[in-house]
Amino acid sequence: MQTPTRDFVAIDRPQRWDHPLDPDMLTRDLGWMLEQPPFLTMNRDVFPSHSTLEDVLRHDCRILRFEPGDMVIREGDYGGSAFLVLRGSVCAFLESLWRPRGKPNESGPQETWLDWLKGRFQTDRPQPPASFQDNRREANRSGNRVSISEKERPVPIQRIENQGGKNRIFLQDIHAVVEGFQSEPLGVGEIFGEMAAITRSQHRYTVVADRPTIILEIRWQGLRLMRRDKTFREYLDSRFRATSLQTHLRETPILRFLDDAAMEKVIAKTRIESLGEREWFSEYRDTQKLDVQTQIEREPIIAKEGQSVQDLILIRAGFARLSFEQGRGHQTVAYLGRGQVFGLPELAHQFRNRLGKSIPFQESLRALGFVDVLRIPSELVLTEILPKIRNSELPKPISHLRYDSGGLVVPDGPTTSTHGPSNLIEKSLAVLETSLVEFLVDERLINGKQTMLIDLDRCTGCDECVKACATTHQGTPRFVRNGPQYGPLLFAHACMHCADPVCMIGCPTGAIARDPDSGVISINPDTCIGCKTCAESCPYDNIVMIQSRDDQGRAAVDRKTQLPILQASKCDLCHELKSGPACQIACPHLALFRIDTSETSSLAEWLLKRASA
Amino acid sequence: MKNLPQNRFAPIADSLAGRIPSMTRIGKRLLPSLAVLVAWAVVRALRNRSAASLENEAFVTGYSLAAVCALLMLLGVRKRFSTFPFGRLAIWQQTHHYLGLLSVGAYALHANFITDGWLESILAISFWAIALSGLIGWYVNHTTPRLLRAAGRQILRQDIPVRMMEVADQAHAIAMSSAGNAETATLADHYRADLSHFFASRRNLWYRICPTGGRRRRLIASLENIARYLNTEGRIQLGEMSMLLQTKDDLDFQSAIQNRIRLWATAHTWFLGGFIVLAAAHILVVYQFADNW
Repeated sequence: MQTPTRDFVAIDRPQRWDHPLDPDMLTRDLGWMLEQPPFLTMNRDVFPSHSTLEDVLRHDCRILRFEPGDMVIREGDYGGSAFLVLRGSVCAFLESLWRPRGKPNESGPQETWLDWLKGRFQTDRPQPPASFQDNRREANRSGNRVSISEKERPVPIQRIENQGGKNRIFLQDIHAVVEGFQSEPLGVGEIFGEMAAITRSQHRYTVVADRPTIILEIRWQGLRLMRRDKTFREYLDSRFRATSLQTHLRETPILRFLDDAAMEKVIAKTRIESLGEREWFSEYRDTQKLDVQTQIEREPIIAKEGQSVQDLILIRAGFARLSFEQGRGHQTVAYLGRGQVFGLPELAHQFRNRLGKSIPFQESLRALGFVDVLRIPSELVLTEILPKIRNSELPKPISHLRYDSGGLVVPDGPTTSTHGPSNLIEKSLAVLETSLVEFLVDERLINGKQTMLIDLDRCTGCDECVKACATTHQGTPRFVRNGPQYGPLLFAHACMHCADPVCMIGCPTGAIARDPDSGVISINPDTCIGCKTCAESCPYDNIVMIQSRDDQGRAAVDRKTQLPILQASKCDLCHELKSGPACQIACPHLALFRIDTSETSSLAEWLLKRASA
Repeated sequence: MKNLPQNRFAPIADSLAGRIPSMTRIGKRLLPSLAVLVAWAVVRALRNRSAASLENEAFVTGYSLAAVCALLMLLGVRKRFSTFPFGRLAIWQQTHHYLGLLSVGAYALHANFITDGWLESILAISFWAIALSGLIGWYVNHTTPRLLRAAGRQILRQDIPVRMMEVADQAHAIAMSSAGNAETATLADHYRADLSHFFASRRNLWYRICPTGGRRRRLIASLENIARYLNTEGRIQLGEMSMLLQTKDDLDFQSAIQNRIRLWATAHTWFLGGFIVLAAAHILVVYQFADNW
């Protein structure tokens, strides 16, 4: 197909659906799928002529067959597809089977030169089956929510078996595991995994086939097109809300002491609320040009300081700014992310005073981009939740109120942040100065799971990092040693492998995707059609368009127009190198790091280490 | 850019972590220094044993020096293989520094700092040049981050010429706007006489090797001197010109510092190349006349 010329090679411009999810899908299977619900009842007129329902099913779907015990999705893996049960049934576990997985790119130890040398002299040996036998469940998980005690519970063992050249991952003795853990059966016509696919996040639960099952995998791009059908869209939305509410509440640490009855009450009374746009990047680009105070005022408010505490607020997805009014502006004191709670100190204050006088919110909470929150009514918190929490786990009493029932209090001492029961957060905030927190929030660096941080007190600008990156990626570096700067900290323009990777939203081919295991977001050059959607979506300008090149380094041009063929390029954390990111390894001054800036504790820990080095 | 005091977190770190940072720092340097001392003592002992057995001790010290030099060169090789899992480059660089120290000790044992013969003299000069450039490199690497930070927000080397052009254009625009009014024209005259060259040209070689703030101070002082001839509008323009002058000087400074580190790396590599050729010639000559020993 390729016509080599002197310096470039002419090829056909890549198109959407050049690489279907299942290239071997039979027309017979396609016909059968169209006769199954919900596709049978879908309104085909809402699909445009260039991407009909048949096209979507043919290119963005594949039929998967599972035996009893086979794992369909595993908690902690990143999701990019939804799954629809066509035949049989599956079991979705409502609680964690294993302890939480590691952070991106921390799935295993990095390869040392000794390992590398060993690898050169060793022949390929079959790997022993992965087992989670040694993994212990979180010690503090609820012991009274299920009737079986911890000792009686079976330890789920994951096995890998090679069948016909394909690895089959299954849970040993599935029936015992189903009996030992809370689970929900899902039958024909039910969909799962869509939550992780829509929010570009990790699966919160494991799903296992409990009988011979046929499942249709629908990749995110196809799912987005199918949402054109109103009934299907409404079904997805209602399911998304119901499932996410239940899963999140069951995972929330402060609710772990609740028994089943109390938990059911909480689930029934909790409201889910979404603020901001899922595609928040375009609005962010516009508001970034405004001054900081105007930006803050434009952020959707979740809870306002001085107002009475009606609900306990749980962040389900996204990030929120915690701030209070200071003079004519707003001072940011922290940012809260998934799993964090707002309003607990105020409710605990009221609870400690034996349900006496209530105090209003001491700080405001504003949505940064898209945020999902759960609201648990305060009466329920005071009567059902707080009495079951140990005193030591309650937040410290508020020593200096900023607001009381009469309004703003004139401070007689230093006012401190009241939010969050976690000591870790308090310690982090002691280290991170307010202006640094404000900087991280304003630049939205709070989204980064692997933010490239350069310590300018060590960096000499020798560019060894850039050279190493270029060497690893066919001569084109995938980051720029420049970016937002806070004192000696330079947050370089390198992909941060975000908690909420908005770059993935619009990709029509699924070329930009997150690795389910490591969490690394990378671009598949074979399926990237150079549409620039990801580059334009990235709020941090960390994706650039470069000329596509073949294996011999020749630039690709369109056979018809002779115009260059572009492809998106970004940092892939050198996921193919076992030694870790080349830039980091190549820095001779130990100036370049990768930090999880989505959590204040990681940055605080790093700053402490830096100060004591 | 916001400022963060350098040791802002040190007291918190010490109290929270319960560590004694100075001990860690000493430990980090003490152990490799001891290793260098031990290695040097071993070479010296081998030389003494060789001398005691009436052998030519120069072979022992010479090969020891050659071995150390070969190890020193491994850093350059390592840099070219960034995709191989050979450990962090920082560790290699640290090892390189200590081996450099050892090489000086080994050289002292081999040549007693004094050499005769033209080839040996050139070889000695080449060795000292490379050792000195290494020492300068160590100093440059340690001082560059501080100097770059002092020059404000770090700008990529390749972006500096563009920024300089922008600054020069802005200065020219201010001068042109002041030229039309008799009460501000002094600024335009001063720009044409003293400043236009500063904005449009690169700094001299000496500045690029050892940048100082002397010229900037002189030019700012000269600007302040003409303030009395300007009206209010002219003084505002003078303030803007003064800011641009500082920006240009910062850019010159950043350019000089960033180029200096590259110049040093190139010089160190060239000295190394020359040394390898001369050392190879020296070994050949030694073996040519080895029978006489």
